[in-house]
Amino acid sequence: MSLDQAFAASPLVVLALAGVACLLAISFAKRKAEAAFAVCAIGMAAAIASSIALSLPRMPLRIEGLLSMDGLSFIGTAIILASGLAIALASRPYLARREGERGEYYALLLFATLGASVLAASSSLATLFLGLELLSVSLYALVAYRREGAEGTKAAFTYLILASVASAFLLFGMALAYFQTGSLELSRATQAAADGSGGPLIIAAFAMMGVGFAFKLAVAPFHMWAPEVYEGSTAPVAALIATVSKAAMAIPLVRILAPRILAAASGGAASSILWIVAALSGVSMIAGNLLALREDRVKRMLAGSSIAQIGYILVALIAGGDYGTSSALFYLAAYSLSTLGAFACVAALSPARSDSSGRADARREDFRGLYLRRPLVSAVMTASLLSLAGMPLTAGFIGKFMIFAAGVRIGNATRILAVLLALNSAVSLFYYLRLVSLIYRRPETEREGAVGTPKEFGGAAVAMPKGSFLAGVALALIGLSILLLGTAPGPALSFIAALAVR
Amino acid sequence: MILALFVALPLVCGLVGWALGGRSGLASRVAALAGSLACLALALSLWLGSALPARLELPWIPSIGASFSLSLDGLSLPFLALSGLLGAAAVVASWKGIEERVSFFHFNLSLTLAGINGVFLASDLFLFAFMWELMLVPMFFVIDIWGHGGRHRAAVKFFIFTQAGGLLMIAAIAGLYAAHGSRTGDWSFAYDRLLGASATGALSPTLQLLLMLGFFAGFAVKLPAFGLHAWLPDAHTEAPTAGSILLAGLLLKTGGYGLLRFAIPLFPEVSRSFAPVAMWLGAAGILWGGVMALGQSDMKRLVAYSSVSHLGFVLVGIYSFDPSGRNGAVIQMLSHGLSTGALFMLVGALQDRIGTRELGRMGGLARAAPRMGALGLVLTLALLGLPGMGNFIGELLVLFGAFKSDPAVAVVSGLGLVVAMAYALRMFQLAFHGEAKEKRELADLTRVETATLGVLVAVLLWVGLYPRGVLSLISLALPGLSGGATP
Repeated sequence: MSLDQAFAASPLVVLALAGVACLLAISFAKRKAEAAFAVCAIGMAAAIASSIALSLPRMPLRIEGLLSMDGLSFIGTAIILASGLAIALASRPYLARREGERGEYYALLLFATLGASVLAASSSLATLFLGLELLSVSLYALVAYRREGAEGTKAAFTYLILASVASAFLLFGMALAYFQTGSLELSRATQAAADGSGGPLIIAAFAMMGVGFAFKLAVAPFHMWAPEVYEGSTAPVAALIATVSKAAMAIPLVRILAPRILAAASGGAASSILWIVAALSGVSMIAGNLLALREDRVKRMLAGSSIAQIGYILVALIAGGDYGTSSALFYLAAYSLSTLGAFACVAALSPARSDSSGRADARREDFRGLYLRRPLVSAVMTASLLSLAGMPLTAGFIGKFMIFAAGVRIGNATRILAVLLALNSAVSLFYYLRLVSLIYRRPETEREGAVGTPKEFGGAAVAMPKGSFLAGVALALIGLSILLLGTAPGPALSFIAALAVR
Repeated sequence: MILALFVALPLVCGLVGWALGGRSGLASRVAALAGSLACLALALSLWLGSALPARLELPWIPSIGASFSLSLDGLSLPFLALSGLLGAAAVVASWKGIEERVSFFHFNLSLTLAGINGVFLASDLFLFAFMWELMLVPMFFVIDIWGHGGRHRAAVKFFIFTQAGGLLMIAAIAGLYAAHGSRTGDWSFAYDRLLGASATGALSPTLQLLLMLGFFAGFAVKLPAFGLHAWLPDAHTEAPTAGSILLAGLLLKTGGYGLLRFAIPLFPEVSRSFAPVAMWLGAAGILWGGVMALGQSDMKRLVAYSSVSHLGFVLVGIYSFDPSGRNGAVIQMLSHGLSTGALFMLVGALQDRIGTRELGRMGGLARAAPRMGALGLVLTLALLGLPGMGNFIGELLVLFGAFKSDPAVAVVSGLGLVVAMAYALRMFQLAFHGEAKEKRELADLTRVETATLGVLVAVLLWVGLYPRGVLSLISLALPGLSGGATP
């Protein structure tokens, strides 16, 4: 491996080193949890810095048979690392208040982001699987991190069993692709599908790999696990599943789908693959929104929302081309930011473990009158939800408009999907807005010691747990980024467009 | 850069007021008022300076061909002035009525105004869609948080109707963008460049019709056209006074403005063949709104239904494809904004004082509050379209135009004037004349309220007595918007 290659892959190296350092810190440091947190946060920040300073100037660069450090992987890694860092920051006060903070949590977080970054950069089926398993195994443990009550365990088992099945499908699909093409290169497999040289078996291969992808992305009809797992895991871990894990899976999907659009128009295996994806996208939008519409619990609602949102992203991926790809990537960033903001707010509102009600999470009712109690959380929650709903001033509006334009720009199939997208956005507004309007309503009764009541509003003065300040900063930054991407998306869009084709 | 101020001023004033508002929120009231008055002053100075048309173009999202471009012509300017005036009136009207979360209220008010001004100025379709959506959320909050009893339902209804229409419009914008871009290779949202798209034959007639219907759906919901008006009575009735003023005075006007500026000039041919449908929709709205207003016992709801009736004239006038009809539609929009805005302010003041809007529980108010009675009379006369008021000019011109293009529509629409007479006089009689139904102390309008209403009435009279003042301005812009050859 040359020095250039090492530099290009430096974010992955930094993350791996940080993971090891984190384990060492847990073994030897005096204040284990704090040391682990520091290593985790600094490691992620360093990985971001190295990907900008060392990796970006050397792109595109292939590490043959393993990784492809290009524009796509940079965007994916950027989303993954920024989300990971925000989740780490938001976890600290949450854990302090609820589950108790342990160093292993941060180590797992590091390994999960490492796995996700490898996935985003993978150019071969082997690294793809490696990254996926690293991510998944870390997630199994993280989902099970919530120990009190049966919910956490139940969620962890659901996730473990279903994700293993999905991995098995993926692996079988990869084996078929290898059997057909004799190569582990991802590009060879997509090539074979596009020019029809792979025969019918290559469709089977992609269909089976598709099951794995669809499961991880929680695309309907492979979405059943999502509400339960989101509900059962802690709010930061749910955010991790919704953002890092999905962004990590979306990037290889872009690699598979993006360059093949023109070939697909002429028919062949790739065309039928696109049709399958189109069907999945439509079903996802509808199923996700219906799920969210009926749901009263916030985390389950967000699960439904993210199922639908991935359906939207798929529209742009099917549309393909430079425009479709950059729309999809922009929307992926917007979606990650918004979902992250929403989950971080839910985490910030989770009741303390000592709370008498025995509830684990913020319910819808906790948002009533939130504006009076927690202005920052309310503002970020509002921005996030409106962004998910696609209202202007937020990143979601620009993203949705671009996906829509990409959809109508290309072909008949995507036009139908674009119309579906518009209809679904209208439906989804209802449940986002229901929650947003609750935030600004008058509290029905002045509940004593309501969640996170600050001093001036009567509640007992709750001492803010450690790390609240950093979590607040992360929250504010998320909110500002949503607004910035929503009002001045020009630079970000040109940046993404320039990178996506590299 | 002056044009950007119309959007920036309310935005900045709203933010500053929110930040400085504190508990009492006085700063936010002052800031919102200052923002609106500054916009008004700006509009008037541009009007007198006659530096039209003005343009501003800044790069915004070059990668998709969207720019931050605003342009001001004779059609936009009167609406901008109206928005400044009614914005100030809305702040005055909520000086007493809004007592909680004052700063946030005025922030929402200012944000809505920024969006409205942006709609009246945007000359880039992407920017237009952005501004169009921007008005929505703060208005939703205004209804949902500060409204009356049934506010939550009304707010959701308002939002779903307008958003469904808005999404169809956005779909049409994206479709137009894509169709134009793929045929000409010019991927742009700029209004000027898309303007000729239908004429050059770049779009098939079917596509033109679909896109036109998309635009029409968005605007017709806002206007509202008959059949799509179900959100209006609830929203207007349940909104706080300031919200009703903005809704009736300005938000509805964005629909009419959009038809004039976008739906017809972008698709002149299909619009012309669609005109009979639109005109009959307008006539149906005139009668339906009038008859419904006749049956209302809630004063605010009565005014709301009268809006459906009055905006029907706008639809008829716009689609009459006749210069005097078009002029009449614009005059009607402006006068309706002034008169209905003022009426909502009056009803709000009444409700603050006697705690009810039921006509059956009023009566004899003119004796108890003479100033209120006098202004109420003037506004009632405006409501029924008495000569001398702007509404008269508007309705008359619309009927002239309609008569030329379709006499049957004109005759049916004319019946609306008779109905208006009935419901307006009934309202005034029940509320202000006769014996008081309940004993109560009634404080008359304060000086500030009287002055604000006085200004609105004065402008209404000015439009009614000297319509040339406005007509000379809008006639600069309208011919260019009729979409090619006029018949």
